[in-house]
Amino acid sequence: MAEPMMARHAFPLLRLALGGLIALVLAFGLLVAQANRAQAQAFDPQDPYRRVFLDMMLTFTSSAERSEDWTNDWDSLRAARDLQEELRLCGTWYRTDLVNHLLEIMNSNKEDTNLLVAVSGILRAAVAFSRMDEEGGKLSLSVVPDDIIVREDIQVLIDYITRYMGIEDQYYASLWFGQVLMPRGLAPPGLADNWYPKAEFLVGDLERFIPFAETAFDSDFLDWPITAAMRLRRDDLASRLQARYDAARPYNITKLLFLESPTARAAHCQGLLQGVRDRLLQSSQLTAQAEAASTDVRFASWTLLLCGQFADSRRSARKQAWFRQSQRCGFRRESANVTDFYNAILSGSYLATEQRKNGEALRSAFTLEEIVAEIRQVLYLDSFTGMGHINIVLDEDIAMYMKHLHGIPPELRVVEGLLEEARENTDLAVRAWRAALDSEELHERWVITLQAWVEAGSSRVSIIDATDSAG
Amino acid sequence: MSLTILGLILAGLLFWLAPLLRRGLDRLTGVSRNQRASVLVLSLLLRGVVIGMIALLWLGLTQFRQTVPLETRARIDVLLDVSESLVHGDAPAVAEYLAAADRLSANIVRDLGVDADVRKRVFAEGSQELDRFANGLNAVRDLNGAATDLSAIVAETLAAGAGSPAQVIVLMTDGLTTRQGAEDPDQITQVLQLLAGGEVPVLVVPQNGNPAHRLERPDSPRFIIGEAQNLSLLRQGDLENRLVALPVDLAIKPQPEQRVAYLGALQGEAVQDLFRFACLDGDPVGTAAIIISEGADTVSCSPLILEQETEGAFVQMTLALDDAPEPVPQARIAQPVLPDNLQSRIIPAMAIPRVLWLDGGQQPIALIDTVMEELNWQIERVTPEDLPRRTGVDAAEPLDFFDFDLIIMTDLAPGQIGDGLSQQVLLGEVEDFVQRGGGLFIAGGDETFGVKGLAATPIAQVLPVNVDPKGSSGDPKVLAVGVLDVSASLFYKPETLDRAVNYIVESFAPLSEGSLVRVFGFSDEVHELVPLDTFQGVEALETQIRDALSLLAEEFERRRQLGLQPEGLAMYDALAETRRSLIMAQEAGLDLPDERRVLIISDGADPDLGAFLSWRVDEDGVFQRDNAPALAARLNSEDDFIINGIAMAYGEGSLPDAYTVLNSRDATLRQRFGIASEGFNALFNVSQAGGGYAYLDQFTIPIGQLARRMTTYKDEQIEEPSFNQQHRFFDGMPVRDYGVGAISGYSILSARDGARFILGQPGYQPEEGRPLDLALWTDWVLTRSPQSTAEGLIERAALGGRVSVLGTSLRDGGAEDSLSNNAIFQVALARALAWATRTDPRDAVGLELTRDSRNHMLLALDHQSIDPFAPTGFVAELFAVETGEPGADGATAEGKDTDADTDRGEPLARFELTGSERRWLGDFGPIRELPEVFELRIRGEGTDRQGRARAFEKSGLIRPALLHRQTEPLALDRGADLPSLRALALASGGTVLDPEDLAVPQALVQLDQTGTRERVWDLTWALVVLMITALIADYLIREYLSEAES
Repeated sequence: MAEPMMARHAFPLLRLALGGLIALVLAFGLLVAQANRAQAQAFDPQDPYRRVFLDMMLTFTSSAERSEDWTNDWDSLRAARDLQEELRLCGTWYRTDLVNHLLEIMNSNKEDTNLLVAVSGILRAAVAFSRMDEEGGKLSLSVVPDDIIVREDIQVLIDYITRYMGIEDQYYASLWFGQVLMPRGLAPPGLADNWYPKAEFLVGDLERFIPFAETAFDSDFLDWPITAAMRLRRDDLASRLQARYDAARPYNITKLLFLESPTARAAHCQGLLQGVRDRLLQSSQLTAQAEAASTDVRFASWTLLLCGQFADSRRSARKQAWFRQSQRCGFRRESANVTDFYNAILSGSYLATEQRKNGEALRSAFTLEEIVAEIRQVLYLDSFTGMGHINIVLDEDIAMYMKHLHGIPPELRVVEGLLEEARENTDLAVRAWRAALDSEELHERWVITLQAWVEAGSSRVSIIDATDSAG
Repeated sequence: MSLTILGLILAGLLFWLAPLLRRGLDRLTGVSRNQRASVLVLSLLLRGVVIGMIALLWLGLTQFRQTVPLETRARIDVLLDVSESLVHGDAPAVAEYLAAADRLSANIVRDLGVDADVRKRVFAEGSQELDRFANGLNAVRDLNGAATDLSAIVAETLAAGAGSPAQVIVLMTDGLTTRQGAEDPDQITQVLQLLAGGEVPVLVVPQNGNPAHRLERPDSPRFIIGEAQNLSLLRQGDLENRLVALPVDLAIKPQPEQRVAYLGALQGEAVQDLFRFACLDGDPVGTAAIIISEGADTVSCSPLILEQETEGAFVQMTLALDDAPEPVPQARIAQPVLPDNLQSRIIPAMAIPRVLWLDGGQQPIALIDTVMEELNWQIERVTPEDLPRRTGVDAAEPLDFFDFDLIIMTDLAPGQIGDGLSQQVLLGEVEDFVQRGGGLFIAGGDETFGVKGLAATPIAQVLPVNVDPKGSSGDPKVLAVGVLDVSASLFYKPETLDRAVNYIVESFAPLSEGSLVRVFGFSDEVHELVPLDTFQGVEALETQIRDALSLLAEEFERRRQLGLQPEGLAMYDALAETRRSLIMAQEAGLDLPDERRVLIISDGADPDLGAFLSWRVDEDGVFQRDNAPALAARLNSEDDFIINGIAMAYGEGSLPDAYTVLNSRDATLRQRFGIASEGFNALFNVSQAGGGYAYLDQFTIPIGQLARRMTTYKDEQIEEPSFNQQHRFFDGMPVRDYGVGAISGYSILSARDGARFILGQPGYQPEEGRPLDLALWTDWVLTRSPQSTAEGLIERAALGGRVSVLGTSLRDGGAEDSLSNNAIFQVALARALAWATRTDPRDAVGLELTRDSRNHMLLALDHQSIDPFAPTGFVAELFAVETGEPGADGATAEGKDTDADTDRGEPLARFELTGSERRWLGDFGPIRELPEVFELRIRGEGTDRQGRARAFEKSGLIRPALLHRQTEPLALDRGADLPSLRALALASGGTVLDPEDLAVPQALVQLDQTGTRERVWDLTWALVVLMITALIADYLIREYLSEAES
């Protein structure tokens, strides 16, 4: 008699215990997820663009193409779930659009094996491109039949993929997608009109960019068509474009390149700086925390640099860089990392010059050491984009803007040499360092370093204790 | 005066109307009388006189003055002590005591030979005035006789007698202020102060107790239990049983022949073998009885050692005098049957010491285990890593240091305890534990005390020696770099920033001449505030910093308008900048000092974790991660920087130490602390990695001493240390025989003020440093209770203090020639531990069980806790105890299950004690309704310092029949405290009188009789008399006239 009673009592107890256990497991899972989230949010210099995302997409589609019905396939489902989890951790609007669209295609065409294979091929190409594997990517893309690419949903998919690549600084991917699809007339409009020309400008052939320059002007190309024309020595085109630019926006940056007299440049800068100040102040008033970074001062450091406010420019650039690094995986965590770094380096080299001229020789040397450390950092970050920014920094920022506006002091020569070295132009690098040495203005610490670099033909020699310039 | 006027008016009316009234009366009654001329004349005469007198008085003569010689009388206050050390209100012969006092006072007054007003007063704890002592029987019963407040009665008498021409106090007392007759020098001192100067002489009549004036059997011996002694009285051989040592004196009326007394103690079920002590005039250790010699009045016994193994926290002690001492000895008396020939007292027993062993090492230390086993102490070993979890609020059974008596720390590095806050809180608690009476024993090498060791922790405050700052000899030059956080969150909090600047200035103030100083502000970039240069004095430094900060404020304002406010402190970059100071010094051609310190003052509320981490890419393009603590460690190891930090908490004023804040109920303080603590931990990690220490918004140690590094004592070894072999520490240790050279030596010394190097090293000066490679440091700055004389203090200190520090690790492998394997050292260690443990339990419950006159059993509880434990209630529970019949030898039945932990069942009675704070009271009810023996369990409940509920329980067996009556004096036959009384008489200019042979000094009281005084007569009554006379006269004349008419 007693035993059934016990059993009746035991059952709810067991259920309670089980419930407790489940709750515990769930809570633990939540904790782990939280921890993962925190980890994902932190800036990871070793994968600043979190390219694991692309791999996850590919894992999903590869798994799906192999299964008969991926919606019943455990591996595929798990891959899809992982992808969604990744979006939860590190989702941006363009990633979300891409994944949603991909899932929609995969779901509505789950029995169309050919289509699934094609989608997988497109993604495989994207992954290969992002890893700077041009051949593999192009091969993957070439086997995708034209009739599938022209399908509207696949066009949208390619559009989303190239938009993702463009926003996340994977310029070579945009370039190679364009190179494969443009001749076949299969490029979606976003790629054809925007991402492909931009990629040609940044990492491709300037000549191929120029045809777009004129037609695409007034979109979001800003001043690139003008500087591109100038770099190709097509001054008439440049002047024409500048005139149109001036008419649309009287206070534009490229105008500085056309103003020869310092007075005129100073006057123009007044207008530019006023705009910057307004924006900066506005943004600082928007935020409650004194230390919270502003949100829309993206070009402040560049403008300040052009107008000779080096210390503030560097400050602004570094602040932007920190701000972006501290952001969670989301919008504005993209390319500007690298741009801000480069701006800080350029303004920093002029700051070092100023300090040297003010008699703070040692401080100037320290600043230059900091800058060199930063160059190494930014080159590391830029390597994830296939050195997508180095051309514009060297050929445009330094060669055109800096040279025209502020001249090239020995500190900038040091920077120039390091960047040229990264572009594998060792001769140019050594020439720049020698020029810096020849100025005979640098601090002794730097004289020793540069001599060593020039002798070795490389900056890969450590003279100064690296931790001296840490930070 | 208005009454006089009214009287006069009335008199006047009657005067004139009286004849008419008379006539009217005569008319009514029909009487007719004769009138004579003489009467008429007389009447007229009288009326004339009366009217004249009235007029005279009326006009102003209302007083008559007269000068007469003055007669004065002295005031004699006779004070009679009726406290229970002398007399009891219910005693049969108490009236005799009072009558004798009356007689005695009459004799003394007579012998003084002056005119006097005699006032009589009986006193004990209170006092009452009487016209005759013989009438004072009720007063004796009303006054609380348990104690005597001698100073109060003297003060009261002096106050009452102020202004009298002369005063004498006749004091009849035994000079004992407690029932037990214990000495009370404070009371006597107070009385002496009152009487000093001799204006009021006191004639002291010492009263020796008379058994007839007390209750019940006066021939019984009484015992007087002194304060529990500390261990100073113990010597070698007592270490096994050292805990409660009670000095016991037996007081007894001198017996005509040799007698035997039996002392028994009942603790738990067991009858203690108490005969392990020796009494003077008694038998040596091991006998069952105390032989009281013929005619002896007191027997002093050596400290009574109570066994600790037995259960129960109370000991009921009994004492009985054997009425039939032959044949001697009776086996032993444990359970006396008759209550009226013995008495008993309840005393608390000390529990077995609990030891907390914080062990930072891995390998076991067998020596400590062995010593603990030998001492039979309870020890709990906790690793420092475990401490934060074990002491946390969410711990199931929180570890509370105050539950222990001794904390042993071996090879403990503070870093093992956890983050900075945990370290500060827990080590702060250990310090508090020591300050409140706990014992501490630390063993460890110089790592333990030096950098990253205990040097800058709260423990340093209780270390018996100052841990020497590195290079403290010769006032070294220091490169001092101050890093001030100027991020917006701190910069725009003026009061906090101001305090931060003060910290830098105060820290740098003691820098020696020739030191280099640099102060820079840091947010995300460098702001040079004081460029690197030689130290120019603290005023110049402060001016420079403040000027630079005001310039910086302007610059920040400009930036604010651009939205470029300073970011939070990038700790990593700040450290990197610090390192550049070395290059700067080289560049400027300055001599770089070997001593290098960094003081980082940052915003504790703003942990910039992003800037805490750093990454870089080397020249080969290889990615490398780094963080601020790692960089700090490199600064410490490669560049000899010692990094210290102060984390700021927003708001006014510095913070107290972490431990105090956490125990504070000040919400604002806790909030400030909480906000700042996260940043503090980050700063602490950096500081500790950099070989220093961080504080949370408090200035503690000047930078020159921050992160002190102990010089190694091995450098200063002396070849052949010599010992003061007379020192008691070495009692029983075969120093001489063993040959001191076997170990390099012990020294017991304290570097604190007034310390002495106790070992007799010829010519040794403490400033010479530690001469030996092994130092047992003891601290006698922290005194043990009870207090003692200066000599006693030193003696005890020599034996050991509450903090003992061993400057070497006990992990030496235990090889044959190692220290821990050395027999002398082992004894020394055991002794040091025994000395370190505290002598007062955390919760000392003094229990007084008494029987009152109604035969109710009363419980008075006196609770003392060494930490702020606030009791909210005490519950007493009575449990039945099944006892067998006592055996023939008087011992309770043995071999019975007496496991204290077994279920005791329902309590017989349970009630809550009433009271508050320390004193709690309860009534068990009539003794006849209580069982013959019961277990009393006292449970105290309350809250600890952090507001957590805490409870403790103590229990013991009680035999109510063995309770003595509350009214029995324990000071029986102690006799008067003559030395005190003599001092008292001497101080007042009086004398001590022998009641048997009164020799009252005649000239003691001098009255001045040469004065005069004015006597004043009030004439208002004469007026009244005159009026009456006038009325009579008028009546007569009317009578006459009416008669004449008729």
